[in-house]
Amino acid sequence: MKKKEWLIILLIGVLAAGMILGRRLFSSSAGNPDPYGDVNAPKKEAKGEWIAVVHHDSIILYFDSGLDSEYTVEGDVGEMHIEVRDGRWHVKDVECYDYTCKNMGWADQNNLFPIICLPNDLVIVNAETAWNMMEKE
Amino acid sequence: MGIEKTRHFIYLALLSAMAIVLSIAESVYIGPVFYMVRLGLANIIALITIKIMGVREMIAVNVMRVVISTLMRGMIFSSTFWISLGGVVLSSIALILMDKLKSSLMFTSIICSIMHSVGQVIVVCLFYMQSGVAVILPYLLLGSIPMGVLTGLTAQLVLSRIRPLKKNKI
Repeated sequence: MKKKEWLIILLIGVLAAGMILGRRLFSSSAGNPDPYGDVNAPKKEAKGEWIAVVHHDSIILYFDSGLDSEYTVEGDVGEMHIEVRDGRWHVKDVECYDYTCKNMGWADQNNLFPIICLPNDLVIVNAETAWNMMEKE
Repeated sequence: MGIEKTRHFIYLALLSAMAIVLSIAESVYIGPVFYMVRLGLANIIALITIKIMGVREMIAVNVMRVVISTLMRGMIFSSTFWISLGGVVLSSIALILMDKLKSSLMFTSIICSIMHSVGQVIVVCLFYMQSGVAVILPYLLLGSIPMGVLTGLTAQLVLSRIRPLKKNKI
């Protein structure tokens, strides 16, 4: 590989790392922030963090990442079963055809990856990010 | 149809078959290496095809790979199909550009891997209105670099072994 090519790859790598660091530094955790007019938004403070499940353009479920539990939501193709344990959450099972969301494994509040199931049009993301998504739309 | 043309089609069919098998095997048996970052084994075949056969053949192999592998998995015209197609279109454009610019195989492979991820994210953001997925783009970009190195190295190894075929004007 030529020197110029190494530099381009390095630049892309640095840019991507900068974007990740920037987002980690400037994103605040969602304890109980302003729900941007969502009437169904939880009023009390979460033990862990409020996590939202977004279907199409609306939040269909809020759950507290600090409370161990299991939830079921309905997507476009079928049901999605979400398990919350020890401050982490994952898709335990899902009725769809590619299982990417299930294969993504466990997520926690330090994890900025939303869990996305495109066939069902479901996104599991922290509540603050979900409200930001709603506001932009 | 002359013998050269028949040979050309046979190699095209073999490369397409290899790309389809790698694509299906990767999605069924390997899955994402890190969250949504995949190895992109089928890109090895795209790299080999453009080097030993040419641009048109590489496009044919890539299109056949996406269409037939999603068809065989029962996902034709599903979200997976369109996302794959988005990635393949952008990575093919990048591959053609890099080939024209006479870039090294490794650099071409890394750029293709990056463009594949970018193409997929663009499809999800624009066509599925999931702007939230743009958050994962920097992770995908970072993950694409080692995956591109891996596919580039493999393609390099394969090309060094099949170089004699090139002399036969495939």
